[in-house]
Amino acid sequence: MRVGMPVLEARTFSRSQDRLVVEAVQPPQDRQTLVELALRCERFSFRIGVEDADRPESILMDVTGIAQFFSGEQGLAEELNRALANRRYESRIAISETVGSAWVAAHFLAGPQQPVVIPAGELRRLEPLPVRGLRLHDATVTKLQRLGIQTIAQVSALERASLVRRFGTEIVARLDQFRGQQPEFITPCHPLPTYRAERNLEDGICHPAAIEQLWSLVLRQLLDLLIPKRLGTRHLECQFVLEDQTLQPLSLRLCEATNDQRHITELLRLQQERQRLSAAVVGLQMEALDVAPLDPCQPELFDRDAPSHARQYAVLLNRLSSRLGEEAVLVPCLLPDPIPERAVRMHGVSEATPAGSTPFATRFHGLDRPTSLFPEPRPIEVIAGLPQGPPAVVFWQGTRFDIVYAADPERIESGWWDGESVCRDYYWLETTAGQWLWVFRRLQDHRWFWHGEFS
Amino acid sequence: MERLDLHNTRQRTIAELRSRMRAWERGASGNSMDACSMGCGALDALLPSQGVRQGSLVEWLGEGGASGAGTVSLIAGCRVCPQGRPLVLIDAHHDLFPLSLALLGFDLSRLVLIRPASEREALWACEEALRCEAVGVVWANIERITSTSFRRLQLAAKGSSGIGFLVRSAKALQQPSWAEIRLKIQPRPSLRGSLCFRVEVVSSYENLHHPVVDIMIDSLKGTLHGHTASTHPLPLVSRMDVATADHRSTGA
Repeated sequence: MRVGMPVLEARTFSRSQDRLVVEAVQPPQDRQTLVELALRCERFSFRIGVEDADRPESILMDVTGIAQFFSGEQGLAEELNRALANRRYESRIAISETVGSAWVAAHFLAGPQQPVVIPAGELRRLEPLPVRGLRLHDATVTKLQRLGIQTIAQVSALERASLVRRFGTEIVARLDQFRGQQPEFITPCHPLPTYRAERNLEDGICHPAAIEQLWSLVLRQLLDLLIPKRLGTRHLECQFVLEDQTLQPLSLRLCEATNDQRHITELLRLQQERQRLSAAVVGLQMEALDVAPLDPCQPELFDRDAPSHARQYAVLLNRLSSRLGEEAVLVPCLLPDPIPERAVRMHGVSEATPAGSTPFATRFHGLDRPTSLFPEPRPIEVIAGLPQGPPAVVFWQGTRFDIVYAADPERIESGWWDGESVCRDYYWLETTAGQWLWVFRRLQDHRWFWHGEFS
Repeated sequence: MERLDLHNTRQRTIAELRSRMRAWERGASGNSMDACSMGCGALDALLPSQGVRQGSLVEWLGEGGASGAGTVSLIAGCRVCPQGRPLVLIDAHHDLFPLSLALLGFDLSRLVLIRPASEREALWACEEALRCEAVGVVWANIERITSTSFRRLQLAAKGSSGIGFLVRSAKALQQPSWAEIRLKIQPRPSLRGSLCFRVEVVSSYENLHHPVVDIMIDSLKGTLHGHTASTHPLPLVSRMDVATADHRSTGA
């Protein structure tokens, strides 16, 4: 029997004397049962959750530092297996150094009564297993199988840039999770404690100093919940309750968890400078959403500046993000796309660490791309010395550039699978004044555009 | 018994007093006199300390767009930045291309790009970044800076021993500056595919005359080199790929 099989077809498997009970699939109940089972296994892990999928079928457990209480990881796995068997569950258990590798080992290596432990550094043992073990979508697995790719080892041997181009980031991300190069977090199914504080006023206030006094009080109240547990917040959400019964949000994201009242106050003040409240404030709710233990900051014996520099840098980024907005403080990440405007993705500094840059090609040289790329290509008029040749004169908004040298063209085009078709011939042009312009001819309509320069 | 040379003693005393006065004028402290090389001897030689002094500002002035001032200063900034320290680029024009920065040798994982909405915000961000001891180099292309703001930037750099590179148009020459040195960049005709520039010291604490050097950017490596008629860092036949291939193509 398989998922999606019609009931009538399934009935053909039963014998005439069998008493057959047909029940509809109930995904929410399945999930709830899995969560209840996970909660019963809490003595085996400090952090236990259900896998993040539409139809979860696995329980994820972080057993770091737990194994010693069960005479090793094998002992832990066997004890867990016994506990589940006592409840009449048939389980497949695997312990490995990453969630991805444990998942594949549990599904393709472990047996009903045979837990598997993959020692650290031996992930290669799992590479001959089927590519389905990477938790890919069915469509992706089908496509890979049609290309003759059956195992994790085969997909690992493919070039990353080519994988991204053909399949998007799904396979690369799953491979990185499998190898532990991309973090994967277990969302605990135990309800997390909430950290929030609020204060309501009888009369509305609108003076900035009074409002600051209000959020200082509420912040103090909130931090009093975090400080005793040595917790800090990375995301603070404030809701100003206004006299006209509307809520005005104020969100603060931080690069690292902190419970430093002075620092948070300063950041809130910078945010508030940009905010205009439409009515008097009659209340404030403040909630710490992303709560995490504080990073230990023991100073180095010899290099005492190192930790303080990291802290100072985080403080700087927080301040810049608060005052200028998260969209203004960016970390660039290269993408394997030949189209210049699609070759870079910008991330906010407070976002989770993005995957490493995967530039389109390493064959580029130092000056192959301009240091300034205009947000929009500028339409230009050109006079060419030869038909279909490079420009000899360029006009842009009344400015004339006489060209003394034009490099050979570089054709940049998108793949047919990318949707919008881009096909351009790019030229480096040197003007009589020594300036270098990066222009292109759009091959669809032979129009010319100025796209960048060495600023 | 050694004879007392009054002339030399007087010269030494004057030189020492002069250096003290310079240090006092610049507010330079003892530990901030370390100079960082820009990776180009000819360019370093223009600066009083034979390199960019920590705790100082350098102004790069270019005539109009595509002057090369931004590109030269970016390459120099990348070399000047101490190992392991982040770079903060304040991109007031919102057009810096990170792919090009990567090709010029920038480590993008240690780079933060700030795209402020106004020059006022750019100035504030520049001062904040200069004030942070953790930042290696702050690069900014801010056009209008008042004397007071400039002094604040200089004090911020001095306080943190940071380095600030300010890229502005040559019109700023009429405005007061608190930079240790102001360099004017003028594009020159290229040489075998390598970009060439003339760098002129337009004002400096030390040099009363205006020395000039010609530099070029290696088109393959993206590094700066001094350029004279006799010394060329590149082989006579550079860019063999360009010379032999009529048409390069890049596609998905």
